Amino acid sequence: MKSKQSLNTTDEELSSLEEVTEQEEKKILSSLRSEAYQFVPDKLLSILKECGICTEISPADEKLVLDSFKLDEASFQKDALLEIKKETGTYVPELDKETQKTQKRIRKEGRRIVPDVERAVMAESGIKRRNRKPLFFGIGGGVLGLAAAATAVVLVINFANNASSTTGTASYISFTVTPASYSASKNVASYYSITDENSAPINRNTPTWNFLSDKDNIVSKSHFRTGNYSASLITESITDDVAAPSLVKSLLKSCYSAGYLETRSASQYNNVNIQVFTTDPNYKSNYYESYFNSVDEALKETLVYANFAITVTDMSSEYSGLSTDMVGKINNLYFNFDEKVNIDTLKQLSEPIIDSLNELLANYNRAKLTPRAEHALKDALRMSLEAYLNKVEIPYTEEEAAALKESIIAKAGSLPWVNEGNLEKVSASLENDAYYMIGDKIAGFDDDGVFELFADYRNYVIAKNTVNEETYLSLLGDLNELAKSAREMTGIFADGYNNEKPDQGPESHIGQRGDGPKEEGWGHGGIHEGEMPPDGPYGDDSGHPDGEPPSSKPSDSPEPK
Amino acid sequence: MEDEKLEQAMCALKAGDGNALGEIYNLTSKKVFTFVLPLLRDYQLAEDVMQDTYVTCYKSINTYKEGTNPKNWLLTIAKNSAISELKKRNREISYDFSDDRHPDGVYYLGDIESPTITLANKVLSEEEFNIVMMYAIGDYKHREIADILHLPLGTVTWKYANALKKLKAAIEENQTEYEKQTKLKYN
Repeated sequence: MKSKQSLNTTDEELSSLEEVTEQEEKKILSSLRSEAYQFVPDKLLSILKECGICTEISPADEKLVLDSFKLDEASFQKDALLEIKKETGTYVPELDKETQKTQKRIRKEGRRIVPDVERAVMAESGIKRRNRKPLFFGIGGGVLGLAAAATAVVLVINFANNASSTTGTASYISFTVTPASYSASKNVASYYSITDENSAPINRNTPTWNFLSDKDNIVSKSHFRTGNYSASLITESITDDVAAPSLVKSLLKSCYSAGYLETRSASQYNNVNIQVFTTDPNYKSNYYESYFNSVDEALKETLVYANFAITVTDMSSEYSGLSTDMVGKINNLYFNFDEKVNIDTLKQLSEPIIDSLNELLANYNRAKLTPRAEHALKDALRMSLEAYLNKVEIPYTEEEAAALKESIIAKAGSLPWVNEGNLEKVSASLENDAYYMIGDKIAGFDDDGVFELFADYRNYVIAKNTVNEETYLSLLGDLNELAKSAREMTGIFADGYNNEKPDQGPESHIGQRGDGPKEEGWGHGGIHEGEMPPDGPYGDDSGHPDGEPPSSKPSDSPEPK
Repeated sequence: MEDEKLEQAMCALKAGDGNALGEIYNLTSKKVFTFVLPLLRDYQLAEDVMQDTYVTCYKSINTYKEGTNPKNWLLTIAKNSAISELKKRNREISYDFSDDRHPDGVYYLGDIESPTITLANKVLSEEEFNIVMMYAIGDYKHREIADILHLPLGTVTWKYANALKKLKAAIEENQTEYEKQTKLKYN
């Protein structure tokens, strides 16, 4: 056999070689695999002999084996019934396809259950990759963790717009409603679990709003923001300035109308959560009761039960010297990053980056994404923030990265969120580096390990674009452009399992479980339990150990589980 | 599924069922062989080390702890066998594949009749050959190959892609001869 291919092929010569299509790759691999028995020497007999394991067979055993071969002979013959079915036209190939589909699904699901043993082999065998470098360092932790860090690091905050410093008067409020079915499902399944198709669908959509209030706890319309897509489907803005507790009441009633407060079972409670970060040391004593009453009234008016929790964190020292606007922006990032990036870290960012991140998140929060996709995007943004602050090393050369990208695009069909319907669009999107900003938790079924490659390229994109403020702003800008088109790009963004849908909107929730109690003896609605204010609105001698208002608990409603 | 089978076979071997060694061999020999070959850089030596690996596996099965990773355990034995073989010959593990090329190709493969592998052996560099064999025959993922060969993942995918391009070109160039050999082999 002749061969002109030089071993030291130059880049030019290589680029002149024809690309290998997926089909051709499969063919070559299949040829190699079929020749594997020639390449890998058969040493079994020698091994067995060396180990002294008997390899001879007694005449009796030989007869037994030969007889069993005769019995199995039929399995080598054609399936007569199948042939008849094919000839008479009663053969239904779809059944086979369905079987294959089921098998594929079982296999895929199996991969999720069976741990990734092969990866562990490498990890535990002591073989280390020479050039492998950790890309990201944790900067997470809650507010408290950060407060501790702040004692060691003196932060110099030098924001341009510091004129309207409102130290001691700004409060940032995050308000979230969690439907009862989702609250209940959290006890038995994780956020990433697959919905049991036989049971009623779980409403995993949790509308969230974030707003800033002034010294009198008044929220201005310019400081009201939706925290996610579900919230944007209910109320995107407010028309007048309003007291925060009244705003909560009105939003809660809208949540009921839109089906996010459920009345399916008296033993499953919705959850209403309010988190307040404030510079007002008296916020809790001043406003707790009005929040409590607002929520309780809204629930009673709609005959809904809910658990209610409110936490108030005094941030006087952390917000010292910040303008009201900046308090809002930083807190907005804090909540959008699921409280995994602490506030002191966010304060280290320049105003253009804070603004860009806020604009980006606002656009994505209005985009039509699944909760999982929103989560994954924020996860990647958090990673980019870590990389920007820690300055990580770029893991690949441009050439290597291009090859990596090429192989991902070639195998785009194996990405967990890709199906026949969106393959073409996703493949085109993969050309855009910003599209790779997806966090690790998105990974679902990943037959060919393509998401691993995807994540590696994402790490490269992050590292490459976080070397300085200019490159980072450019990446955020590209991502923002993507966000603007996201509403029209349903199904293109990663959802992890390619069968999830973004929130279908209020109309899909109404009529299922948000339209009034179904059970007899449901009662009057109200707060089920919650943190009570000091000395509580009903006092310690109310006779209600769990702090429930006497009128809120129906006498004949079942006890919660 | 294969991991489960391997775990079961390991447990059976530990319980005294010598025949389980055959099952272990069938499940892992391709992985073990393509793992030790780049370490030893010698086809015949890799054969010997593979045999040693399974003999050692049999002799030290009592040290295998049930519930731990059987593939990991076996590959550790293989790696140690390779290191001790190289020590015997005063050689060191090297990942520099730039020299020592056999006139027949990357390795002297003896008289094996495998047209595609023979061609790959001839036209690919040692690194490319190892990457392709580990991926196609050893069933390793690119990431694992990167770990074993101490290369960045991007380099592995890049070299893999280049190797396929070269191989495709070589097959096309030698089409007539290749097809003849393939037919001879399968007829």
